Amino acid sequence: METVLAFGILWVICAILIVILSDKWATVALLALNLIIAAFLLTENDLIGALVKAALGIVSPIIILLAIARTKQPRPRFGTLPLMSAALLTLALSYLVAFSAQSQFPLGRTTESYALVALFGIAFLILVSQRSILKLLLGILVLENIGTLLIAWGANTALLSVVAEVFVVLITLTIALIALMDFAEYGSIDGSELTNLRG
Amino acid sequence: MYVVYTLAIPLIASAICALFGRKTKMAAYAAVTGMTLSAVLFTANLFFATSATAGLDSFATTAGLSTVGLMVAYVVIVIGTLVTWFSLPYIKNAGRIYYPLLLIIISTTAAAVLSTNVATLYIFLEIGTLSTAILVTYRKGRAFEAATKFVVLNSIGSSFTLIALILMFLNYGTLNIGSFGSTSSNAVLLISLFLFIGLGTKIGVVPMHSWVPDTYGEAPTPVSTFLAGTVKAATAFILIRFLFALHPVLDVVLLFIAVTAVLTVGVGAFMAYTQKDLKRFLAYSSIEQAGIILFAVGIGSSAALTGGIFQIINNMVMKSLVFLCVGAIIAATKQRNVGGLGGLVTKMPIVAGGFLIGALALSGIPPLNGFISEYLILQAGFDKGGFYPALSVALLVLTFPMFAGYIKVFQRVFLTVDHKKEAPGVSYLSIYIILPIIILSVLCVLMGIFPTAIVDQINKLSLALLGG
Repeated sequence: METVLAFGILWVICAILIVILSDKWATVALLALNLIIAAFLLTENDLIGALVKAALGIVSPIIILLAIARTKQPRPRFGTLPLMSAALLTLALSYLVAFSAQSQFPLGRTTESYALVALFGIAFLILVSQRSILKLLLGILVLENIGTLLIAWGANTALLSVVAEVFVVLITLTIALIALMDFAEYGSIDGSELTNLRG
Repeated sequence: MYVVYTLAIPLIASAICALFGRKTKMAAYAAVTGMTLSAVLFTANLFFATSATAGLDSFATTAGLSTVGLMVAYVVIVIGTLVTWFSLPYIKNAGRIYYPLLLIIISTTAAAVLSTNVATLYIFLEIGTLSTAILVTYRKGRAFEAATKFVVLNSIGSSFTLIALILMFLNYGTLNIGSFGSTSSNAVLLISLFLFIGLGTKIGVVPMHSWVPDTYGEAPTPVSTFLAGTVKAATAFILIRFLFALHPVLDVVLLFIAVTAVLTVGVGAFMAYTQKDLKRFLAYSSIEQAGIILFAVGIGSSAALTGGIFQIINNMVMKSLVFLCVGAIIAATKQRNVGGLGGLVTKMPIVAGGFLIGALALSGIPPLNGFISEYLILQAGFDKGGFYPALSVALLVLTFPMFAGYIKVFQRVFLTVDHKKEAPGVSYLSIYIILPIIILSVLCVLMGIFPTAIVDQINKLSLALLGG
């Protein structure tokens, strides 16, 4: 369980960093994460996956940075309470999943499995604590990275790698485009300020 | 081969529509022609070209498509065709994107239903989701907000689906769900939950439903019709096919789905009852319908799956019918608020008749089609034992507000005449608006009176899904 604890604490720190950093630096953090994953893929002898990740993993952050440049507004401060409760919840989730599934989850490769749970925790924390559309997009992209790693560690097929990465770019483009439309309409990309509809 | 043509035709028509650019009338006629041709070819393939069936089977298998989903895919194409007809007079200024994206959504939905391959399923689902997100922005203004909710929540759902599909591949060692063997129950639990959250978000399961009323409310009515009636039901069909391809299917997962389904019915029905906007009312009612379908999934017996898949096909017909009726009301009166309408039964008798048939069918009133499928599902719930009889009773009770909501809306929109208020003016409705309403009304009645042929086919599919 020490490994779980180490990964759990590590990803909570990573996630908090991404959450509290400005959009621009959080995007740079995502770019770094993408490049680290590309390097991981290379060590797993998944050359095509690594190339695709390196190439398209740069495209998504560039699109987000362009969107940030076109949507300059005072960024809302994060709430401490939701952040801490989300951190505790996801830490508990990490323990629960790792403990209940033990070594069978999900690849039979224990350390990598914990790393995936960690990545899931980062995404979860961003998705539950953030309101900025672009921060939410970062959370979605972190979640998609789990798919990338799963493909590399278990499936290792060029087809799946390319398909997953191409759609990551398309998702980024679509959400960034809609964020720009929101900014033009509402002067904000903060989800809590888009309140004309009632949900 | 025919089925591939029928799916390719809307895509080709979509490209032609895009080439027409701002010549929107030409684009509209190209879309209508393409979809009609696709529906006619599909019909010919299903009912007349029996000699081609063997060839179709082998081609479909190599292409990663399944012939067992043909019936559902056929309904997708037919409803898509009717929605395209409806768009012709309804969408006055289609712009560059409307018809190309609508046709892409229709063809990718049909292709996703037929897909038995993990990779192709993801491709079709994603293209459909992203095209829908852009199409929802069509009306601008508040539609941007709706599109934001749609794309963010559905992208999160897509990520969960992607992880589930990759885990399937890792555990079963193949991309083809037909070749899945068995794996550990831990893996099945994880895959099932990711799949349910991913596809459940696209279906609008509580608590991932908040995008549904906003998106259906703000999207152009033909798009709302196709999303609520067809895309949602098709996604539920995909969930059934992929969930029951996992071995072993876990009872705890089924119970979780059943409980979530009952909650979904309750939230959908109560929220629908309180709505004053016609499109939002139908949006919440579609959440309630999703709950009924998922309850069948949660029961998990072959009888329940037969009822569930029949409910999926029925939902495509019934929900599309009531949405098109509301579209006709909006087109004729330029109003969508229940309070601003009244006494339309004499001015729009066909629309009133269509709405009544659709509402009664959705409420499960005999002899309409909704009654058969909902009866099959509830019966299967009572037969299963354990918690399921109690859940079936809860489901039945929770559908009452929805039935009351339909009666209230029908009475206020079509029957009540408030003499203190000025009656809404009603403009002429095109045959392209009326004809789909008539066709779907007739289908609701016929599928209710003569359900045997469809139910027999679905029963074979249910048994095949459960390995029987």
